[in-house]
Amino acid sequence: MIQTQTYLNVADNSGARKLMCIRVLGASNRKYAHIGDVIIAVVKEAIPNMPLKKSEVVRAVVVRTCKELKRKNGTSVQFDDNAARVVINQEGNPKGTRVFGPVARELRESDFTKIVSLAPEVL
Amino acid sequence: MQTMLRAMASTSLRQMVSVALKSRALAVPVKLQMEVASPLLSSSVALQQPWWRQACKPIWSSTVQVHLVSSTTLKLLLQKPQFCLRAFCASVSAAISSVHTLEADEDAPPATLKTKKLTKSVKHIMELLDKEAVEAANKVKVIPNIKPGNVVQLKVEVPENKRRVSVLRGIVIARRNAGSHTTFRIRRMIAGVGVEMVFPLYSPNIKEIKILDKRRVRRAKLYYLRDKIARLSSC
Repeated sequence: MIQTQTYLNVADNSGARKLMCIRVLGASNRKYAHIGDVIIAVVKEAIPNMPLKKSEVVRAVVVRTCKELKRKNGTSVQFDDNAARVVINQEGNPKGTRVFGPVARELRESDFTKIVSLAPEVL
Repeated sequence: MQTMLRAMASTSLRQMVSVALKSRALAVPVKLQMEVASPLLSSSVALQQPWWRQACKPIWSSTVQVHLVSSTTLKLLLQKPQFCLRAFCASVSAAISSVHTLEADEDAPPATLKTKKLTKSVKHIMELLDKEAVEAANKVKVIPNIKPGNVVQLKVEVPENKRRVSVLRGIVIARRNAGSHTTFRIRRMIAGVGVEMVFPLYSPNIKEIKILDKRRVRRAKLYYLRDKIARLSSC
């Protein structure tokens, strides 16, 4: 349940460390973003000497949430942090080359197969 | 029955017997002779019925005993006409009064066992169905008794995309008992991030549950592990 002003950790090596969500994409006046949704975020903290700089507006996809993700078979998954992975363009091609931490399986359905294939663990 | 008694008092013996035979309480006069011979058989047949049917046995069926009493007395009356009218009436009234006691004696279970009539029948049916589902699931595969503090390894089938069996491991931090929807919660540190997963215990997707280790815990729910250092959640 990511909304505006939510700080997210960055789960790839694009250069950012922390993002702040400024808009949830999908519908007008949409309140929350879940795993697999795209958000517009601003870089709040960045690693030095990398292409991404602080206060740069980027698009990102949410890969982990503290709010549990309920599945139809009765199981549910929840993570200890909110994290997003930075995408660069409208098609959803990622900017970074590596993914850190586990991701949820639902990303595969949202056409983010590249993220799923790079992830160390898919749950 | 009372009208019959009054009728008996006013008429002669033979008339009374015929009236008694025709009356509804002593129905089926043809079977009178047979019933005298086989009182034990009829009562044993009644006892073989299930307990819940015995408890709500209708009152008319207990007139078997009335038949027996009155048929014996009727036989005596026919054999020995000097049998007192009052004695006959007394026996019939005794039979009537003893209907309730006879019914109680005939199909009363032993004194220690109490049978309860379940008024909330729908709830009881749901509980029965739940128990049956749990027993059926236990017969299919052996499910170990998972307690909080156990380190378990699951083999979960993912039917959505590829029928791949993934292995998941973690420490059980909670178990919620709810019949067939009993769930348990697993926690693990994966790649530096803590992950918690909830599974139904009787889910058909879980192929195997194996208990690797048992940690000594003094709680039923181990939510304090979320605030503790990562090493305690890793396994």
